[in-house]
Amino acid sequence: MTRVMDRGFSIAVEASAPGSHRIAISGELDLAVADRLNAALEEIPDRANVLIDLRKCSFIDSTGLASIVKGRQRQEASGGNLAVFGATAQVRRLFEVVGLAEDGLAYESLEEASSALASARS
Amino acid sequence: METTTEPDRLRLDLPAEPDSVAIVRRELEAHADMLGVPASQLGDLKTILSEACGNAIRYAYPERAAGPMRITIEPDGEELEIHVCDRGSGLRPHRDLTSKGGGFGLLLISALSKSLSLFSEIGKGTHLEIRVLIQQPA
Repeated sequence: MTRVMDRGFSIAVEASAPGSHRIAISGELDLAVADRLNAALEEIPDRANVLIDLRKCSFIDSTGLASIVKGRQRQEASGGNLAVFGATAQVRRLFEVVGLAEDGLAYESLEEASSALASARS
Repeated sequence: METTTEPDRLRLDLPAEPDSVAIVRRELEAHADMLGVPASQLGDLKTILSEACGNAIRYAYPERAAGPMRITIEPDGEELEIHVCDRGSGLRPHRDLTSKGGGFGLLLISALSKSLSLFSEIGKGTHLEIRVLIQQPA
């Protein structure tokens, strides 16, 4: 597991199963730290499924959101996929406002997100 | 950083740099009661302030070290009035807001606020004025 910490913000990346990676984000994902998520996502192999755990992510701005969306596009283009789960109130609201709440990106739980990515792959 | 609180008014003077945005969110949270902001609306206001400050940080001082940024928040009747001002280069909307993937932050502010006004003068700076309807307790 790789962990990067800064001002209470941290990203933990774990290869959770063959072809699957989990990224846990803690703290506030904004323009000051979004490059750390970009860097972590760029290290994910092609064709991998990625689950981003947002249960401890208390805030996301448009820069952080763009990192997640770009990461998803990259994984999809390589034959993989990306989903997030466990969004807190502000993050859920952000997804709703920008129209991402209903497009298969965000799920309530790890189980729902894992199941959705497995279905998409099969 | 300089924080000034007057009755019902919060003023923050910060450098327009990425680490300042988290400070703005902390100060908003700390003064939410004074400003009459309910807890249920804090998330939206943090988003609005982060995007407004983000614009100043990205565009105001492109060719030199971070200059100043002033944030003022005060209630006005049933609304909250927010000003984010810099003394930077001024926005050239077509060049600045379309060439760097910018502009999305302003759309987000518009979606979450009652009104958004942008005043900008080349070489003198940019001023965002945002008005948000404060949610009243049910």
